[in-house]
Amino acid sequence: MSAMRTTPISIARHRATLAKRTLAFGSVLAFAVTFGLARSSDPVHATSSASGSVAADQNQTPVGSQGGQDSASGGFGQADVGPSTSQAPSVSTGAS
Amino acid sequence: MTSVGRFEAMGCDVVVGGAGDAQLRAIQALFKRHELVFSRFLPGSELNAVNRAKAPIVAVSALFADTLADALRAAAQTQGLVDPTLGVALEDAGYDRDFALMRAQHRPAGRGARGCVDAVRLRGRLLSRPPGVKLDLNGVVKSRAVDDALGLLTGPGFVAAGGDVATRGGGGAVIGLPGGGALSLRRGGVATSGRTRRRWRMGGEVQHHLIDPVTGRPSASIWTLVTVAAAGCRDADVAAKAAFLLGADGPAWLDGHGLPGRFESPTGVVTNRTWQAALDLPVAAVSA
Repeated sequence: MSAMRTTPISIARHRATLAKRTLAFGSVLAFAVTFGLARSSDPVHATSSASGSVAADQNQTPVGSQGGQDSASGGFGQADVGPSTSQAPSVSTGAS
Repeated sequence: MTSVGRFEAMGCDVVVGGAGDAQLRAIQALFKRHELVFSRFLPGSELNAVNRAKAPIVAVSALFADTLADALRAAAQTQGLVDPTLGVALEDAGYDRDFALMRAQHRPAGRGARGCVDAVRLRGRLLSRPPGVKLDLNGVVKSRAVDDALGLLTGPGFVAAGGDVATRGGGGAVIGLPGGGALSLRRGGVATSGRTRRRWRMGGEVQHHLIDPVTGRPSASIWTLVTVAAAGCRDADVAAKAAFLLGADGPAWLDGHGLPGRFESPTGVVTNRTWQAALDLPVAAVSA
Protein backbone atom coordinates (compact mmCIF):
# COMPACT_ATOMS: atom_id res chain seq x y z
CA MET A 1 0.00 0.00 0.00
CA SER A 2 2.83 2.31 0.87
CA ALA A 3 4.44 1.50 -2.46
CA MET A 4 1.23 2.40 -4.21
CA ARG A 5 1.17 5.85 -2.63
CA THR A 6 4.59 6.68 -3.91
CA THR A 7 4.27 5.58 -7.50
CA PRO A 8 4.85 8.35 -10.00
CA ILE A 9 1.28 7.99 -11.22
CA SER A 10 -0.28 8.41 -7.78
CA ILE A 11 1.98 11.37 -7.03
CA ALA A 12 0.96 12.99 -10.30
CA ARG A 13 -2.71 12.40 -9.51
CA HIS A 14 -2.25 13.84 -6.05
CA ARG A 15 -0.58 16.95 -7.46
CA ALA A 16 -3.34 17.33 -10.05
CA THR A 17 -5.98 17.10 -7.34
CA LEU A 18 -4.17 19.71 -5.27
CA ALA A 19 -3.89 21.98 -8.27
CA LYS A 20 -7.60 21.63 -9.02
CA ARG A 21 -8.52 22.39 -5.43
CA THR A 22 -6.24 25.40 -5.39
CA LEU A 23 -7.75 26.64 -8.63
CA ALA A 24 -11.29 26.10 -7.32
CA PHE A 25 -10.46 27.92 -4.09
CA GLY A 26 -8.93 30.77 -6.06
CA SER A 27 -12.06 31.05 -8.22
CA VAL A 28 -14.32 31.12 -5.18
CA LEU A 29 -12.10 33.73 -3.55
CA ALA A 30 -12.07 35.85 -6.70
CA PHE A 31 -15.85 35.60 -6.98
CA ALA A 32 -16.27 36.59 -3.34
CA VAL A 33 -13.95 39.55 -3.69
CA THR A 34 -15.53 40.67 -6.95
CA PHE A 35 -19.18 40.26 -6.04
CA GLY A 36 -19.64 39.27 -2.43
CA LEU A 37 -17.64 41.94 -0.68
CA ALA A 38 -19.03 44.58 -2.99
CA ARG A 39 -22.55 43.76 -1.86
CA SER A 40 -22.49 46.08 1.13
CA SER A 41 -21.80 49.07 -1.07
CA ASP A 42 -24.19 48.12 -3.82
CA PRO A 43 -26.76 50.89 -4.36
CA VAL A 44 -29.54 48.44 -5.22
CA HIS A 45 -31.63 47.27 -2.31
CA ALA A 46 -34.59 45.02 -1.76
CA THR A 47 -37.78 45.77 -3.61
CA SER A 48 -40.69 47.34 -1.83
CA SER A 49 -44.38 46.77 -2.30
CA ALA A 50 -45.84 48.54 -5.27
CA SER A 51 -49.09 48.89 -3.41
CA GLY A 52 -47.46 50.39 -0.35
CA SER A 53 -46.15 53.85 0.25
CA VAL A 54 -42.66 54.62 -1.01
CA ALA A 55 -41.42 57.98 0.14
CA ALA A 56 -38.92 60.03 -1.83
CA ASP A 57 -35.48 59.50 -0.36
CA GLN A 58 -33.67 62.81 -0.40
CA ASN A 59 -30.44 61.15 0.70
CA GLN A 60 -30.37 58.58 -2.05
CA THR A 61 -27.17 58.09 -3.99
CA PRO A 62 -27.02 60.40 -6.99
CA VAL A 63 -26.97 58.64 -10.33
CA GLY A 64 -24.76 59.09 -13.32
CA SER A 65 -24.65 61.44 -16.21
CA GLN A 66 -27.90 60.71 -18.01
CA GLY A 67 -30.32 63.57 -18.14
CA GLY A 68 -28.53 65.95 -15.81
CA GLN A 69 -29.79 64.39 -12.59
CA ASP A 70 -30.03 66.38 -9.43
CA SER A 71 -28.95 64.74 -6.20
CA ALA A 72 -31.25 67.01 -4.20
CA SER A 73 -34.25 65.38 -5.84
CA GLY A 74 -33.17 61.80 -5.26
CA GLY A 75 -31.41 61.44 -8.58
CA PHE A 76 -34.02 62.90 -10.91
CA GLY A 77 -33.36 66.22 -12.61
CA GLN A 78 -36.02 68.76 -13.47
CA ALA A 79 -37.21 69.83 -16.90
CA ASP A 80 -37.58 73.39 -18.06
CA VAL A 81 -41.27 73.16 -18.77
CA GLY A 82 -44.21 75.51 -18.89
CA PRO A 83 -47.72 76.02 -20.18
CA SER A 84 -48.16 75.56 -23.88
CA THR A 85 -48.54 78.41 -26.28
CA SER A 86 -51.25 78.43 -28.88
CA GLN A 87 -49.04 76.84 -31.51
CA ALA A 88 -49.68 73.30 -32.65
CA PRO A 89 -47.69 70.52 -30.96
CA SER A 90 -44.38 69.59 -32.58
CA VAL A 91 -44.84 66.06 -31.37
CA SER A 92 -46.99 64.16 -28.88
CA THR A 93 -46.28 62.02 -25.87
CA GLY A 94 -48.22 58.86 -25.23
CA ALA A 95 -47.93 55.27 -24.12
CA SER A 96 -45.62 53.33 -26.41
CA MET B 1 -35.90 73.97 -36.33
CA THR B 2 -35.98 73.48 -40.07
CA SER B 3 -36.39 69.79 -40.70
CA VAL B 4 -38.23 66.81 -39.30
CA GLY B 5 -37.10 63.27 -40.06
CA ARG B 6 -38.88 60.02 -39.30
CA PHE B 7 -38.01 56.34 -39.20
CA GLU B 8 -39.12 53.21 -37.41
CA ALA B 9 -37.07 51.48 -34.72
CA MET B 10 -37.66 49.46 -31.57
CA GLY B 11 -41.23 48.80 -32.67
CA CYS B 12 -42.21 52.47 -32.72
CA ASP B 13 -42.00 55.64 -34.79
CA VAL B 14 -39.01 57.86 -34.17
CA VAL B 15 -39.35 61.55 -35.02
CA VAL B 16 -36.34 63.87 -35.07
CA GLY B 17 -36.53 67.65 -35.36
CA GLY B 18 -33.57 69.82 -36.23
CA ALA B 19 -31.28 67.16 -37.68
CA GLY B 20 -29.39 67.35 -40.93
CA ASP B 21 -29.12 64.29 -43.16
CA ALA B 22 -25.89 63.08 -41.58
CA GLN B 23 -27.21 63.55 -38.05
CA LEU B 24 -30.42 61.74 -38.91
CA ARG B 25 -28.42 58.80 -40.28
CA ALA B 26 -26.31 58.74 -37.12
CA ILE B 27 -29.42 58.75 -34.95
CA GLN B 28 -30.96 55.97 -37.01
CA ALA B 29 -27.78 53.93 -36.59
CA LEU B 30 -27.83 54.57 -32.84
CA PHE B 31 -31.38 53.22 -32.51
CA LYS B 32 -30.54 50.26 -34.71
CA ARG B 33 -27.50 49.44 -32.57
CA HIS B 34 -29.57 49.55 -29.39
CA GLU B 35 -32.21 47.34 -30.98
CA LEU B 36 -29.64 44.73 -32.04
CA VAL B 37 -28.19 44.60 -28.53
CA PHE B 38 -31.30 44.84 -26.34
CA SER B 39 -34.21 43.35 -28.30
CA ARG B 40 -36.06 40.51 -26.58
CA PHE B 41 -37.35 39.43 -29.98
CA LEU B 42 -34.18 39.14 -32.03
CA PRO B 43 -32.69 35.70 -31.33
CA GLY B 44 -29.19 37.03 -31.98
CA SER B 45 -29.38 40.01 -29.65
CA GLU B 46 -26.84 40.27 -26.86
CA LEU B 47 -29.67 40.40 -24.35
CA ASN B 48 -30.95 37.01 -25.50
CA ALA B 49 -27.42 35.59 -25.48
CA VAL B 50 -27.00 36.73 -21.87
CA ASN B 51 -30.41 35.35 -20.91
CA ARG B 52 -29.59 31.98 -22.52
CA ALA B 53 -26.15 31.70 -20.94
CA LYS B 54 -25.85 29.08 -18.20
CA ALA B 55 -22.60 30.39 -16.77
CA PRO B 56 -23.03 32.18 -13.44
CA ILE B 57 -20.79 35.02 -14.59
CA VAL B 58 -20.80 36.41 -18.11
CA ALA B 59 -18.84 39.17 -19.81
CA VAL B 60 -20.98 41.72 -21.62
CA SER B 61 -20.26 44.52 -24.07
CA ALA B 62 -19.52 48.05 -22.92
CA LEU B 63 -22.91 49.28 -24.17
CA PHE B 64 -24.70 46.45 -22.37
CA ALA B 65 -22.80 47.05 -19.14
CA ASP B 66 -23.39 50.80 -19.25
CA THR B 67 -27.11 50.35 -19.86
CA LEU B 68 -27.49 47.65 -17.22
CA ALA B 69 -25.66 49.86 -14.73
CA ASP B 70 -28.18 52.59 -15.47
CA ALA B 71 -31.06 50.11 -15.12
CA LEU B 72 -29.71 49.19 -11.69
CA ARG B 73 -29.53 52.90 -10.82
CA ALA B 74 -33.14 53.24 -11.94
CA ALA B 75 -34.07 50.40 -9.60
CA ALA B 76 -32.28 52.16 -6.75
CA GLN B 77 -33.97 55.47 -7.57
CA THR B 78 -37.39 53.81 -7.46
CA GLN B 79 -36.77 51.49 -4.51
CA GLY B 80 -36.89 48.49 -6.83
CA LEU B 81 -40.07 49.36 -8.71
CA VAL B 82 -38.42 49.75 -12.11
CA ASP B 83 -36.78 46.36 -12.16
CA PRO B 84 -34.59 44.96 -14.99
CA THR B 85 -35.10 41.29 -13.96
CA LEU B 86 -38.69 40.83 -15.13
CA GLY B 87 -38.09 39.06 -18.44
CA VAL B 88 -39.67 35.81 -17.26
CA ALA B 89 -42.67 37.69 -15.84
CA LEU B 90 -43.24 39.37 -19.22
CA GLU B 91 -43.10 36.02 -21.00
CA ASP B 92 -45.48 34.48 -18.45
CA ALA B 93 -47.90 37.31 -19.18
CA GLY B 94 -47.69 36.34 -22.87
CA TYR B 95 -45.41 39.13 -24.12
CA ASP B 96 -43.00 36.78 -25.83
CA ARG B 97 -42.90 38.22 -29.34
CA ASP B 98 -42.86 41.55 -31.13
CA PHE B 99 -45.98 43.43 -30.10
CA ALA B 100 -47.12 43.74 -33.72
CA LEU B 101 -47.37 39.94 -33.79
CA MET B 102 -49.25 39.59 -30.51
CA ARG B 103 -52.62 37.84 -30.63
CA ALA B 104 -55.10 36.91 -27.93
CA GLN B 105 -54.19 33.55 -26.43
CA HIS B 106 -56.58 31.05 -24.91
CA ARG B 107 -54.09 29.54 -22.48
CA PRO B 108 -53.97 31.23 -19.10
CA ALA B 109 -51.10 33.47 -18.12
CA GLY B 110 -48.21 31.92 -16.23
CA ARG B 111 -47.61 32.48 -12.56
CA GLY B 112 -45.22 35.33 -13.15
CA ALA B 113 -41.82 35.77 -11.57
CA ARG B 114 -40.94 38.36 -8.97
CA GLY B 115 -38.12 40.78 -9.52
CA CYS B 116 -34.75 39.99 -7.98
CA VAL B 117 -32.74 43.07 -8.85
CA ASP B 118 -30.95 42.95 -5.51
CA ALA B 119 -29.33 39.67 -6.58
CA VAL B 120 -27.80 41.11 -9.75
CA ARG B 121 -24.14 42.11 -9.59
CA LEU B 122 -22.27 44.09 -12.21
CA ARG B 123 -18.60 44.87 -11.86
CA GLY B 124 -17.14 46.49 -14.91
CA ARG B 125 -18.28 44.25 -17.74
CA LEU B 126 -18.76 41.13 -15.60
CA LEU B 127 -22.34 40.26 -14.81
CA SER B 128 -23.59 37.81 -12.19
CA ARG B 129 -27.28 36.99 -11.78
CA PRO B 130 -29.25 34.13 -10.24
CA PRO B 131 -29.97 31.06 -12.40
CA GLY B 132 -33.07 31.35 -14.54
CA VAL B 133 -33.31 35.13 -14.38
CA LYS B 134 -34.04 36.86 -17.67
CA LEU B 135 -33.13 40.49 -17.95
CA ASP B 136 -35.32 43.02 -19.73
CA LEU B 137 -33.67 46.42 -20.00
CA ASN B 138 -36.41 48.15 -21.92
CA GLY B 139 -37.23 50.17 -18.83
CA VAL B 140 -34.33 52.43 -19.78
CA VAL B 141 -33.15 51.43 -23.27
CA LYS B 142 -35.51 53.47 -25.43
CA SER B 143 -35.44 56.58 -23.26
CA ARG B 144 -31.64 56.49 -23.06
CA ALA B 145 -31.52 56.16 -26.84
CA VAL B 146 -33.69 59.28 -27.10
CA ASP B 147 -31.35 61.22 -24.79
CA ASP B 148 -28.26 59.95 -26.60
CA ALA B 149 -29.80 60.81 -29.96
CA LEU B 150 -30.52 64.34 -28.78
CA GLY B 151 -26.84 64.60 -27.92
CA LEU B 152 -26.00 63.98 -31.58
CA LEU B 153 -27.78 67.16 -32.63
CA THR B 154 -25.50 70.16 -32.89
CA GLY B 155 -28.29 72.72 -32.69
CA PRO B 156 -31.79 73.07 -31.30
CA GLY B 157 -34.08 70.14 -31.86
CA PHE B 158 -36.01 67.26 -30.44
CA VAL B 159 -36.13 63.47 -30.58
CA ALA B 160 -39.29 61.47 -29.95
CA ALA B 161 -39.63 57.69 -29.91
CA GLY B 162 -43.00 56.10 -29.33
CA GLY B 163 -44.16 59.08 -27.31
CA ASP B 164 -40.98 59.59 -25.26
CA VAL B 165 -39.59 63.02 -26.09
CA ALA B 166 -36.42 65.00 -25.37
CA THR B 167 -35.67 68.50 -26.54
CA ARG B 168 -33.23 71.35 -26.13
CA GLY B 169 -32.34 74.73 -27.48
CA GLY B 170 -34.28 77.28 -29.46
CA GLY B 171 -37.81 77.69 -28.26
CA GLY B 172 -38.05 74.05 -27.25
CA ALA B 173 -41.02 72.06 -28.43
CA VAL B 174 -44.74 71.98 -27.82
CA ILE B 175 -45.64 68.50 -26.66
CA GLY B 176 -49.17 67.23 -27.20
CA LEU B 177 -50.62 65.35 -24.23
CA PRO B 178 -52.73 62.18 -24.29
CA GLY B 179 -56.38 63.06 -24.72
CA GLY B 180 -55.69 66.72 -25.54
CA GLY B 181 -53.81 69.69 -24.17
CA ALA B 182 -50.14 70.49 -24.58
CA LEU B 183 -47.11 71.75 -22.70
CA SER B 184 -44.06 73.70 -23.71
CA LEU B 185 -40.83 71.81 -23.10
CA ARG B 186 -37.87 74.14 -23.41
CA ARG B 187 -35.27 71.68 -22.15
CA GLY B 188 -35.53 68.12 -20.86
CA GLY B 189 -37.72 65.14 -21.50
CA VAL B 190 -41.33 64.05 -21.31
CA ALA B 191 -42.45 60.44 -21.17
CA THR B 192 -45.74 58.64 -20.80
CA SER B 193 -46.14 55.12 -19.44
CA GLY B 194 -49.35 53.19 -19.23
CA ARG B 195 -51.47 50.23 -20.11
CA THR B 196 -53.59 51.62 -22.92
CA ARG B 197 -51.47 50.50 -25.86
CA ARG B 198 -49.36 47.45 -25.06
CA ARG B 199 -52.18 45.30 -23.77
CA TRP B 200 -53.57 41.96 -24.84
CA ARG B 201 -55.74 39.11 -23.62
CA MET B 202 -54.53 35.81 -22.28
CA GLY B 203 -56.90 33.21 -20.93
CA GLY B 204 -59.64 35.84 -21.12
CA GLU B 205 -57.77 38.27 -18.86
CA VAL B 206 -56.27 41.57 -19.96
CA GLN B 207 -52.49 41.68 -19.64
CA HIS B 208 -50.09 44.57 -20.11
CA HIS B 209 -46.35 45.20 -20.07
CA LEU B 210 -45.91 47.14 -16.81
CA ILE B 211 -45.05 44.42 -14.33
CA ASP B 212 -45.27 44.84 -10.56
CA PRO B 213 -41.94 43.41 -9.34
CA VAL B 214 -43.51 42.37 -6.06
CA THR B 215 -46.14 40.10 -7.61
CA GLY B 216 -44.41 39.35 -10.91
CA ARG B 217 -47.72 40.05 -12.68
CA PRO B 218 -49.04 43.02 -14.70
CA SER B 219 -49.66 45.89 -12.30
CA ALA B 220 -53.18 46.50 -11.01
CA SER B 221 -52.48 50.25 -10.84
CA ILE B 222 -55.44 52.60 -10.70
CA TRP B 223 -53.86 54.64 -13.50
CA THR B 224 -54.12 54.06 -17.22
CA LEU B 225 -51.46 56.61 -18.25
CA VAL B 226 -48.86 58.62 -16.37
CA THR B 227 -46.96 61.50 -18.01
CA VAL B 228 -43.86 63.00 -16.38
CA ALA B 229 -41.44 65.78 -17.34
CA ALA B 230 -37.83 65.64 -16.13
CA ALA B 231 -34.32 66.76 -17.05
CA GLY B 232 -34.06 64.02 -19.65
CA CYS B 233 -36.19 61.40 -21.31
CA ARG B 234 -34.62 58.60 -19.27
CA ASP B 235 -35.46 60.33 -15.99
CA ALA B 236 -38.99 61.10 -17.16
CA ASP B 237 -39.60 57.53 -18.32
CA VAL B 238 -38.26 55.87 -15.17
CA ALA B 239 -40.25 58.23 -12.97
CA ALA B 240 -43.42 57.73 -15.02
CA LYS B 241 -43.15 53.94 -14.70
CA ALA B 242 -42.55 54.14 -10.96
CA ALA B 243 -45.43 56.57 -10.46
CA PHE B 244 -47.71 54.27 -12.46
CA LEU B 245 -46.71 51.26 -10.35
CA LEU B 246 -47.18 53.19 -7.11
CA GLY B 247 -50.86 53.71 -7.84
CA ALA B 248 -52.48 56.25 -5.52
CA ASP B 249 -49.09 57.14 -4.03
CA GLY B 250 -47.69 58.12 -7.43
CA PRO B 251 -48.56 61.87 -7.43
CA ALA B 252 -47.02 62.49 -3.99
CA TRP B 253 -43.96 60.42 -4.85
CA LEU B 254 -43.32 62.58 -7.90
CA ASP B 255 -43.85 65.73 -5.80
CA GLY B 256 -41.21 64.40 -3.42
CA HIS B 257 -38.80 64.29 -6.33
CA GLY B 258 -39.85 67.70 -7.65
CA LEU B 259 -41.24 66.20 -10.85
CA PRO B 260 -44.49 67.25 -12.54
CA GLY B 261 -46.87 64.35 -13.23
CA ARG B 262 -50.18 63.94 -15.00
CA PHE B 263 -52.27 60.87 -14.22
CA GLU B 264 -55.11 59.44 -16.26
CA SER B 265 -57.54 56.91 -14.85
CA PRO B 266 -60.85 55.57 -16.18
CA THR B 267 -62.57 58.26 -14.10
CA GLY B 268 -60.59 61.33 -15.13
CA VAL B 269 -57.27 63.16 -15.11
CA VAL B 270 -55.34 64.50 -12.12
CA THR B 271 -52.07 66.36 -11.89
CA ASN B 272 -49.71 66.59 -8.95
CA ARG B 273 -48.76 69.80 -7.16
CA THR B 274 -45.50 70.19 -9.08
CA TRP B 275 -47.36 69.98 -12.36
CA GLN B 276 -49.90 72.54 -11.22
CA ALA B 277 -47.16 74.94 -10.11
CA ALA B 278 -45.13 74.58 -13.30
CA LEU B 279 -47.87 74.34 -15.84
CA ASP B 280 -50.81 76.09 -14.26
CA LEU B 281 -53.23 73.66 -15.77
CA PRO B 282 -56.69 73.02 -14.35
CA VAL B 283 -57.00 70.11 -11.97
CA ALA B 284 -59.77 67.63 -12.51
CA ALA B 285 -61.45 65.95 -9.60
CA VAL B 286 -60.54 62.33 -9.16
CA SER B 287 -62.56 59.57 -7.65
CA ALA B 288 -60.05 56.78 -8.07
